[in-house]
Amino acid sequence: MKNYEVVMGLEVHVELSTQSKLFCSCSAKFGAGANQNVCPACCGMPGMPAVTNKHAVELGIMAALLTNSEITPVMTFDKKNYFYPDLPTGYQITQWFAPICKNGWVEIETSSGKRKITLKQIHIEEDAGKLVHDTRTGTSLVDFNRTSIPLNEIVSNPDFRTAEEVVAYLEKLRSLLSFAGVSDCKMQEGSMRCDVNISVREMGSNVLGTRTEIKNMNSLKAIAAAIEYESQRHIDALETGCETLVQETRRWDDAKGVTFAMRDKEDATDYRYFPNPELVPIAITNEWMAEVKAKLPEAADVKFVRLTGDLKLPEYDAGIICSSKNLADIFDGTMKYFDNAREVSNWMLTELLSVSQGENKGYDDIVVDCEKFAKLIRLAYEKTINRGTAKKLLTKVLEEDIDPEKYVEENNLGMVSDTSLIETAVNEVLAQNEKTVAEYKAGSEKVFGFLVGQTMKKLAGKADPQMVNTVLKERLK
Amino acid sequence: MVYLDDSIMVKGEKCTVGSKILGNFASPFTATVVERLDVDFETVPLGEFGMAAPPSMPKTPLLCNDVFGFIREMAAKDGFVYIRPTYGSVSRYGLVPIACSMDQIGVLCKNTDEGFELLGKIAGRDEKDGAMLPQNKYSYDTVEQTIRFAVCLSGYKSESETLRQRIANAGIKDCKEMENKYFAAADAVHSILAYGEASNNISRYDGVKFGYRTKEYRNLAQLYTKSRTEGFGQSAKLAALMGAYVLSQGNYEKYYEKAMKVRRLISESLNFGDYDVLIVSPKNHVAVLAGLPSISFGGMQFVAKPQNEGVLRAALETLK
Repeated sequence: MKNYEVVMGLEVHVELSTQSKLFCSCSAKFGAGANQNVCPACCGMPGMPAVTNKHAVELGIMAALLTNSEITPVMTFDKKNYFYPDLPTGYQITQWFAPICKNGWVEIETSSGKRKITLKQIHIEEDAGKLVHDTRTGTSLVDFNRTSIPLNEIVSNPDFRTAEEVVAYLEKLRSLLSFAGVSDCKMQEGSMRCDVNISVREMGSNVLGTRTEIKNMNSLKAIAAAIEYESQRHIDALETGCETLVQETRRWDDAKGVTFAMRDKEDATDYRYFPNPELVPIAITNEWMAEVKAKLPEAADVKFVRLTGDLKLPEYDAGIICSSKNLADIFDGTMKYFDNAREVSNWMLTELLSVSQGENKGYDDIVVDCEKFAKLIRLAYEKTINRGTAKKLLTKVLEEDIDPEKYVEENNLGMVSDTSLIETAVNEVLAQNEKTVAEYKAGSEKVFGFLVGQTMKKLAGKADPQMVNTVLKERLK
Repeated sequence: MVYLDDSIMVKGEKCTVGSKILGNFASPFTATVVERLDVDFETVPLGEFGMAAPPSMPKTPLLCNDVFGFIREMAAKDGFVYIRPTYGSVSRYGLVPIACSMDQIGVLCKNTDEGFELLGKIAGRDEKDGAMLPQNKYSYDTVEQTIRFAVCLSGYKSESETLRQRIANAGIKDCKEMENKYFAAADAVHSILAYGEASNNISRYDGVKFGYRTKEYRNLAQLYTKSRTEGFGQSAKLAALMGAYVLSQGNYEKYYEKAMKVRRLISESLNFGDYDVLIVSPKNHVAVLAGLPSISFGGMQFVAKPQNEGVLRAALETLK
């Protein structure tokens, strides 16, 4: 049996996080009803000249900087011609002759160690609309909300050899781009899409085998599965001749776990690229690049080093915070008001995440006012309130956006640490629960918790639990 | 009263651009040039996408976008004046695009006073059109200077005598004759680029979203093919085919890219150093290719350097 090598290149499309579309001022926000975010321009009507969205270009410059790419000094846009109902003007504005940047690289880490994936180029282009097929009536409906949404297409060289590398690369891209605010890279929302070009050759050969392109993988898991399937299909074909490999585009069917050839021969299309004279060429000067570079927020891996180094957080905790831009922002935001890293991190990872998980919210969906969160953490840390109270208040902060300091004052929730008050409460509890006290003295340790609970109840849950513990233990001797 | 050719959009009004394929399309917004008018206006028909002569004698003053030169030639022949301002000085917001690098609203009028008065109202920067010159307002005043004329007959030798005669009849003295080695290619360069761009700008008329759609079709390919075959006239079909041809793989470098390069040579060869106004045949497309202001009148086309409409105005005022 021969030894085979799988060779892959990736084309990743990410939606840029702009307020409006690439060439018109329609909203780029996700989730609107069909054809809500449209105008004559992105519906293919005549008369509205395209005007480039400057923020989209800046995000493109950021992506170029983040991938160590060579930025084109003068960038232009081109027209790519083809007919399809989701493309209302009959052409896509893209960059064929002078893409924004070339020859970048991204470092990935897998079980085999670190390596660099090199990029061919990144270019800016507009997205197409969406087709919805109504099987009841046999008609197809077009939704132009997505038309002209700004995209970066990130084209790698055929450097990948394993599915693990592909997944590591996509996670790295997501981390780099989402932390910089370039794109939120959510595969499930379609803001990050990946097509894989794959071929197989005998190990040691430097000639590429027949290449197929796989589309329609909507999760990292699907990508890994599709790569396994397709590489095996290629190997089987080469080994046994059961089928002839043809250069084509294939669609991944996640339910069936197979790829199948798409009927339209997309590879045969002549796109008749030519420069777009409506859009003036854009000079990306050194000054502009420096301005954009200065705006780049702290990258995830740099943040990780800072959190585990200067701030001495455990790697596990830092890892979770650095896995999501939203969590990282909450951490940094809260630290601005209360800079005890351990406390903030603990509160986030134990209390905040468990409340959110209970509501089925992912890391990226958690919303909290950092100043109020910080106040809460400080109240608990300084023992102004006890932990139980603090947990309850967290829910109130999340749901009702209360100011914890005000709320504690108005509702008299301050922790009770007055020894005489606690002793009085303990005495009452012991007097009212003689049977339980007898059980405890007979050796039943677990009823201690019940007695603590009863004492806390008497003090409206505000007592310092450690003090209650101590006093109870004393009394029960 | 100002007349608009049917490629300048008025909200709620049918806009056909002279083609059946626009169907009952009504403009969803009004063109900037129309917003800037302070008089009544009326829309008049044009040849399909401006690729053919207008179906009837135009009324004036007429705002129009003359990429293929039909209006320009008509003006030269029939006693009108056609003023085409510098490329990028009049907003194209609300103008149905034909060839984006050449589209420029100009005015067909009885005389330069009428024409420049109207242009003064509509020209000037508009942020809705991203490819405009920075100037906000244009006054188009006549310049006070002696106008130096030159004439270039290159590429249109058959018209040489007629043109020389007209220059003499108009009382233009000391008109230098010069040659230009690129003018002979101007026609071909113009056709290639104009048809290339136009073929792309009419791709949007596909029977899917608005306008004419064929009545019966069995699949997507038929929807497209039949709608466009039935909806386009001969001119548009020619443009679609020629355009696709010059842009296609294998032809792009030979035709379209080459034409872009020669276009630049043409632009750069017009130095307006030893002369202020260049007279050429009305059939010559150089002004359109180089984005220069031009006035067509009395069988001649007068061309000046960018934003020198005042020089052109002065030039015409010296004529008999």
